[in-house]
Amino acid sequence: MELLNALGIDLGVLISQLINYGILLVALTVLLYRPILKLLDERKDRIAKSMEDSKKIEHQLKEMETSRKAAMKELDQKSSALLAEAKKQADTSRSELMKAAEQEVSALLERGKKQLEDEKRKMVADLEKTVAKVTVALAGKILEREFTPADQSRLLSSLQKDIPALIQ
Amino acid sequence: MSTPSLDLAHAAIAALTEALQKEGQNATPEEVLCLVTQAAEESAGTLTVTIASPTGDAASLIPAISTAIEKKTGKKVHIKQRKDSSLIGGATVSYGDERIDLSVKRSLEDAEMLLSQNS
Repeated sequence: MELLNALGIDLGVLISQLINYGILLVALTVLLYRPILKLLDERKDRIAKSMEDSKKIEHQLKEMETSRKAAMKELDQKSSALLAEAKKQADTSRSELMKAAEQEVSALLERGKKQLEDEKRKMVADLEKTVAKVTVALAGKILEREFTPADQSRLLSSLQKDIPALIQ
Repeated sequence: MSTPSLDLAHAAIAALTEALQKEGQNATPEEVLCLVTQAAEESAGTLTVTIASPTGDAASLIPAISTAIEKKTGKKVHIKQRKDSSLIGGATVSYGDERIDLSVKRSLEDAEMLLSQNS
């Protein structure tokens, strides 16, 4: 006690100071430290949850990317198959059309050739008939001019022999 | 110059032609006359043979023709000659419904037909 007095420390003041300090410590602990700790814990939890959510989202994104790639691959395969089928059908159709067109052209050519030949034959026949007609007409004209009474007499003489056979 | 008998014959032919036309048989007066002549010849046992030639003279054929037709028909033949310049040469012989064409014109027609058929 004396020592405290020698040091100039008042025990009453010291005790009251300690009490005040304790009260302050309790008040700080209750009113400030714990809410701050609570806030920090909550923040930590939110961050952890956000990290977890982020990981989940990343995982989902990876899954979605994988699914998208798979879907794209499948779509690509299907479209390739469809394109190949369409190309095959187009080739078949084109081939059939070409074949039909070739057949039609061939038939047309054949018909044209036949028609040409018929017309040529008819022209030749007409020409030959005309030539025959003209030749005979010419011969008739020559005979009309050149046929003499003596020729007529000779002809009648030769006909005398044929008459009995013709009249039977 | 017409005589009464000729007028009567013409009138008879005309009437006969008209009657045939009413029956639906169209014939010219010349054809009717020919038919009447044939009928008359038929009843008389004669036959008129017409020989046509470019000169109107085919006397050299008459004996052969007369003999052949008389032999064929058994009728007496009466020959008539006619000029037809279009025949060029040769002659045609007609009697009844028969006609024998021995003309150059016919030969030319035959030749033309033959040439046309062969072409």
